[in-house]
Amino acid sequence: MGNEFAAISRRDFLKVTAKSAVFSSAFLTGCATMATDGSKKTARAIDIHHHYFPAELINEIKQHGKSLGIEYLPSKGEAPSLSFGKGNRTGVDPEIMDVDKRLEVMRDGRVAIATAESQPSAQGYPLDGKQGEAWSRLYNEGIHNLVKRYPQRFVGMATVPMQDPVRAASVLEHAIRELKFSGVTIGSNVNGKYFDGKEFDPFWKKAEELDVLMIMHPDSILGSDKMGAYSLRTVCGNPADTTLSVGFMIYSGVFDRFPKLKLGLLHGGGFFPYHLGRFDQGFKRSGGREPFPASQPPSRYLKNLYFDNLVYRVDTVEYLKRVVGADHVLVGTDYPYTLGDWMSVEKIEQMNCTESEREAMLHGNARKLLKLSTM
Amino acid sequence: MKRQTSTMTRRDFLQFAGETAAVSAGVLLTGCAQTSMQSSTKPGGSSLRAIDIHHHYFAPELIDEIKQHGKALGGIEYFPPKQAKDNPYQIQFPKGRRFAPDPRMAEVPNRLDAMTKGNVGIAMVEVHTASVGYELDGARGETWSNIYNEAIMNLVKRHPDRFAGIATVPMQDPPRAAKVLEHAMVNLKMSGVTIASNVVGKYFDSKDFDPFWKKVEELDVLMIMHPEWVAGADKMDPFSLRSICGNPADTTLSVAYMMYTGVFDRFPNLKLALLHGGGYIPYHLGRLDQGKAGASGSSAIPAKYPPSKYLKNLYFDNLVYRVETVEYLKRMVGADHVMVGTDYPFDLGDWMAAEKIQTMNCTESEREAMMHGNARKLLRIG
Repeated sequence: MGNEFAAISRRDFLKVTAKSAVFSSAFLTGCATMATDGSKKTARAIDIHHHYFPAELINEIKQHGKSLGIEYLPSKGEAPSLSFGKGNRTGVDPEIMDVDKRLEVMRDGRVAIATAESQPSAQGYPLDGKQGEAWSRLYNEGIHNLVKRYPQRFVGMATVPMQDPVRAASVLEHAIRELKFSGVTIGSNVNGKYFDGKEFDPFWKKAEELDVLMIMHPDSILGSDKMGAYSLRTVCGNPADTTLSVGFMIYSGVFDRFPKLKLGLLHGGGFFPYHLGRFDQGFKRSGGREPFPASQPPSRYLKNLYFDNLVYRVDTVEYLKRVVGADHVLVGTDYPYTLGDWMSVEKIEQMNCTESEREAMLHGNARKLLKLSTM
Repeated sequence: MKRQTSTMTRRDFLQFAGETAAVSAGVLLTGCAQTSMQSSTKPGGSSLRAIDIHHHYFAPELIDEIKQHGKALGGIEYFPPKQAKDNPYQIQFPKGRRFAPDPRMAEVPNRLDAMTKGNVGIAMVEVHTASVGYELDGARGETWSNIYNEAIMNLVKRHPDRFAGIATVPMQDPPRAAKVLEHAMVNLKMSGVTIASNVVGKYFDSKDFDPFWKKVEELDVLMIMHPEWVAGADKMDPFSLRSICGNPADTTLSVAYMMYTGVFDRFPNLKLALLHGGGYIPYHLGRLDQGKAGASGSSAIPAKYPPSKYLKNLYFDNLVYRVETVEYLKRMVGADHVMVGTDYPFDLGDWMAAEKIQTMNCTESEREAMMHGNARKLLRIG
């Protein structure tokens, strides 16, 4: 079932966009580009799975790496790598720092706004709390710079030092209140530690108080030593670690203690939507041994969970919608990774659903959750 | 969409059961009398006819074997009961973790009851996966597999109308695994073979396993993969996440290795059934395809085709607990690739898995295929 899209005239497009509050002259430029490129479909989707590494951070690390606890490792190829504290080295690809190509890909993929999120392996969780806080603040400033340059195309997602939940709460508050960020990214674990302990409560409390969307991205994948070949760490490991992490959160009662948390899961929510019944069964059968702290089976916490549609296939997005509801599905591309689907919007355009559900999934849900002005 | 089911009469049941070839009259009649009584006392009860391809058994005679000859078997240890009344004993394979097989694993009457309640006509009797003994050396692994298979067939011989045997083989030594498989199929008349998702951490991405795949293809046998030695399991202990989350994850990882490394190119007629709804292959099939499409240069993937092209080689149990998920599974892989799986005797299983197929939205011929038709063909049950 294809959705009907009409070519939008420049005047119509301006009319629509004029209703949005964040408006600058840069916007008009972007708008003209879109109107003249011959695209028959309107870019209006909001991509909640979009990575960015501010290029200026490289200079920062080169100059102050020692005090930051970050080592810069130049490479013969194009991508330098970084090493955070005692963590493994991680490459920073030119694509993740580039902006022009990004804008092009967004236009081709009919993405109007992307949430600029950290590179998961560059969140600096292996740093100590203080260094982690400094790094998160720098990273957020870098994201903020991009948002300032293109306020109509990007919104900021904070990175926070989850290795120190109290500091994470303080960095989050700063990012939301001062930098006007729209949400926060967290890893699926902190250097292998999952979120089943109460030490993370200060952070959950702040996220709930600020009513902010958390977006979980997998990193430090459990069992990845067995997944070395063929990119299986990302192909298989990423969905698995998200699922494991949310399993820990739900069963240990995080959503009972903080019932208003909103958590976005990427890669279609790992495999949580496919094995929801299995998670419920695990809860139901837990009575025999030590009962799980959660008060309800996992399916009852779907109200707290949101899902990107990064599953590549229309039939799978339809299933996802069926299980979690159209008001819990959002667009995710995983730009700039080639394993992503930069044409993710298309799957929602093509799927079988009502027009109001389609609108919700393409941008309505994201607008509400990220508190963006409505079109 | 509720399906209409009718109470089955004794005569109908006999007619139905009469179609199965591997049946000894006396036993069948006994079993039949019991089951028809059961279903006739349950108004609206449906016909007893599913074939369960996910059903574990650890024969009590194996315990005696371990007690008496554990050392000769390669160091399989038996630990007698302490106080724990739920777990009367523990077993440990060399260098493996010590575990207490669920008492229901070795028991039969309750099993038959659960099958009857769950509308399972025939269950495929499979090894307790933690007891496959892949830690043993090749020779001892072969012995252990042969003993285990004979014990499975002892149960099948006692209830030929309710059970068929699935072989276990020493995957730590693929040529021996091929030999044990041949013996199990040709001499013991077993119906298929179980493999774990890896061999004590080693996945099926090398050609080491080719002698086994070759034999499986030659004998045209259905392989049933069950996860064990789950990657990352050491961090998954709380909340049973090792089985809840780790089992589907490890199946997926294992079959991804097999597909990406070209096992199904070298052996295009292999038939592999995946349990727990196929891990999450059916949900992330697009991602697996994208992984193949995007890989190039030094990280290029040897397989000829993207994973979705190998769905023809794969079969799936329906152990996903929710009707809508079974409907999705069917949509992705086709009704002729879905079968019933309960994971008996584990609590995390769904002993009412057949019900999900009875109530799902599909044609009657698709329903028949998923309930028993596919399994009959693949496992050559008459």
